[in-house]
Amino acid sequence: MSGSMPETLLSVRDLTLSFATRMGPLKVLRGIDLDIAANEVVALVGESGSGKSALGKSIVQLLSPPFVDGRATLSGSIRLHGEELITAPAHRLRAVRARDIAMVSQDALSGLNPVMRIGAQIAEAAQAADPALSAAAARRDARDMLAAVGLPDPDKAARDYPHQLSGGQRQRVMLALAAIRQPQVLIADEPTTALDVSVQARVLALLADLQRQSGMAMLFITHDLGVVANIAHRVAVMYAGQIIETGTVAEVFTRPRHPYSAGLISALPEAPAHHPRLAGGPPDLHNLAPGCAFMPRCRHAAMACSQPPPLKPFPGGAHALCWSPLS
Amino acid sequence: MTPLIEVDAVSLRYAGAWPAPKSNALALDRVSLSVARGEIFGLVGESGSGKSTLARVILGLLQPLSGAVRIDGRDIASYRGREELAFRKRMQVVFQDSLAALDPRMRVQASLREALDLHGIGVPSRRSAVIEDLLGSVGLDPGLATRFPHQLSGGQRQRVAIARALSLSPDILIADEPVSALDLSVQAQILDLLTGLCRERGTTMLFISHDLGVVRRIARHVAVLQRGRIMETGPVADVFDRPASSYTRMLIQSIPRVDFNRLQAQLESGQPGNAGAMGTPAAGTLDAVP
Repeated sequence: MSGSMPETLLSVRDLTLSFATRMGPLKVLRGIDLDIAANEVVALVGESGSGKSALGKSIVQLLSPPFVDGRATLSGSIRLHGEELITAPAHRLRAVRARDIAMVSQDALSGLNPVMRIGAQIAEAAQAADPALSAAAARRDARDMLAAVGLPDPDKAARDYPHQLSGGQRQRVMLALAAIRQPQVLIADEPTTALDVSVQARVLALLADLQRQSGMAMLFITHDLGVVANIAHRVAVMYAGQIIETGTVAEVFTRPRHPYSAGLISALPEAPAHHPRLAGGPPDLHNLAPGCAFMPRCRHAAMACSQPPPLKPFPGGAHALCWSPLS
Repeated sequence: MTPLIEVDAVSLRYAGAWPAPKSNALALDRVSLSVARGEIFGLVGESGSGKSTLARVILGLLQPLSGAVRIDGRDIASYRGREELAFRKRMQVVFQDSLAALDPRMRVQASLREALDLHGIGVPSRRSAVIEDLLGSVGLDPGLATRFPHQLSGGQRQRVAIARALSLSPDILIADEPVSALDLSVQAQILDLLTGLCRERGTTMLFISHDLGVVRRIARHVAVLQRGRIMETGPVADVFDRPASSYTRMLIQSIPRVDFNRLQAQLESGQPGNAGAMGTPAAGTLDAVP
C-alpha cells in the first residue's frame, strides 16, 4: 500500500493477532498490511474495538507473551529497516523498545511510575536508549527535554512526582519520555483524547514540531478525524481488525471509497457531501461472517459481499477493501 | 413569557475535603442564564469549568451559596415534601457514564419499572407494556428488557438511561455529556434520538458538553462557562461564528477541524501525500492561554 513512498521504515505484512477465549479464538487483527516511511505521519482511525490500539501495541509486541499470559498469538511480519521483529529474540526486542520504537498512550498516569520523580524517569529512558550516557548527562538531557516540551518550570517538574502535574503536563512528560530516546518510530495511541481542546491543540502542535525536527515516523492512533486532518499525511481506516481503506488524507477525506469511511467522514459537522448516517454498531468479533465485516451495516451490500472483499487500488495510491467501492 | 429555567446569579463554593485546604475559588460565580420552554440549550466548557456543578444546582442536588434557580418562575428551594417529589418528576437527568447510572444488579426492566413505581405512573398491571413501549421509543428491542447493564453495549445502555429519564415525561431533561463516552457513529445516533424525542414531546433539554461541535449541531442557544463564570451566551450561530469573548474564540480555534476546501485544493494540485498542516491552527496564539 506504500505506492511510491521513499524508503519504507516500518513494514507490517499480514499481521494477525488472536486471543484464546472461552468462546473460541478472538481475531483482533485480521491480516494487516501497513508501511510507514521515515518522516511520515500515518493516522490509524476506527471505532473502539476495531483493533487500532491492538495494532499499535502489537508492533512493539506488547500484546503477546510475556505481556499477555500466553493466550495471544501474533503472526505475520513486522520489519523495521528490514529486520524481522516477530521472531526477534527478547533482548533484541527490548533494545528496539528502548530506542527505536517509542510509544505514547492515552493514559499518561498509568504510563508513568507513580513513586519515581519525573526527571529520574526520563533520565532512565535516556540511559536505556544509550547505555554509554553518563548519569549526569542523562539528568541534564532530561531537564532540557522537559524544557523542550514546554513545561513552564522544567527544574521543578524534574523533581515532581507524576501526581503533582496536570493532565496536559503529564502528557508532555510522556512526549519527553518518548522523544529523549530519539526513536525512529513513534506510536502515539490517542495521546490527546483525555485532554481539553485548548490543551490538546498545544500538545498536538508540540508533537508535530517534535516529529518534523527529528524526522521520525509516526503512527498516530485516534478516533478524531479532525485531529487526523491536521497532523497526518496518510490515513488508514480500521474496521473489525482489518484496514479497510488507506490513502493520503486529502484522498480519503474528499473521496472516500469504502462506504464505512464515507459514513464516518460525513458524520463530521463540517463535511460538505452527506452520505447516509452510519446505522448499527461495531460487529461482534466472535461472530464475524466470512465475507465483508461491514456488510450488515452497509447500504451498498450486494450478493458478492458475503465473500471476502478484494483490496482495490485507486489512482492516487488509495486502496479500499470492498466489492463495490464508491466512485 | 417567563423562561422555563431561570438561573439567577448563582454562586457556589465547594468546602474542601481533607487533606485539601478549603479553596477560596468559586465553583460557580454569579451564573445567570435562562432557558425557554421546548428549546435545546447547550452548556459548554472545559473540565473544571463548573458545567456539572451548575447541572446539580439546577437539579436541586446542590444548594447554591447565593442566588436562585427558578423553574416556571418558582424558586426550587421552596419545594417541600410531596410537592418536592412531584417537582423532581418534572426534571430528569442522563449522565455520561451509563454503566454507573444503572444499577448493575437490576435487569433493564426493573430499572425502568422502579421509576414508574416510585412516582406511581399508570396502573401497576400495565407497566410491563409501558416499559415495552419505552424501549421501542428509544430504538431498543424489547427482548433486551431482561438483560443486565453489563450485557449491553455503551450505546444501548445510554438508550436505557434515556428511556428511564423520559419514562416520567419530564418537562426538563438535563443531559450531562451523554455522548462523550460513545463512538462517533453511535454518538450521532444517540444525538438524533435525544433531539428527536425532545422535539416530539416538547421537552426542554439542557445539554452539557465539552464538545463544541456536538453542541453546535443540536442546540439553539449556548452558554460558555470558564472557571465558574459565564463568558458568553447567545444563539449558537452568533456565539460560534462571531464569538465576542477571546476565550470562546480560543476554544473554537482549538477544535481540530477538517478543512475540506484545503484538502480538495491539495488533491487537485496533485501534491502527493502531505496534509500540509502539521501543527494545529493558531498554535501561536494558543501559547498565551494559561
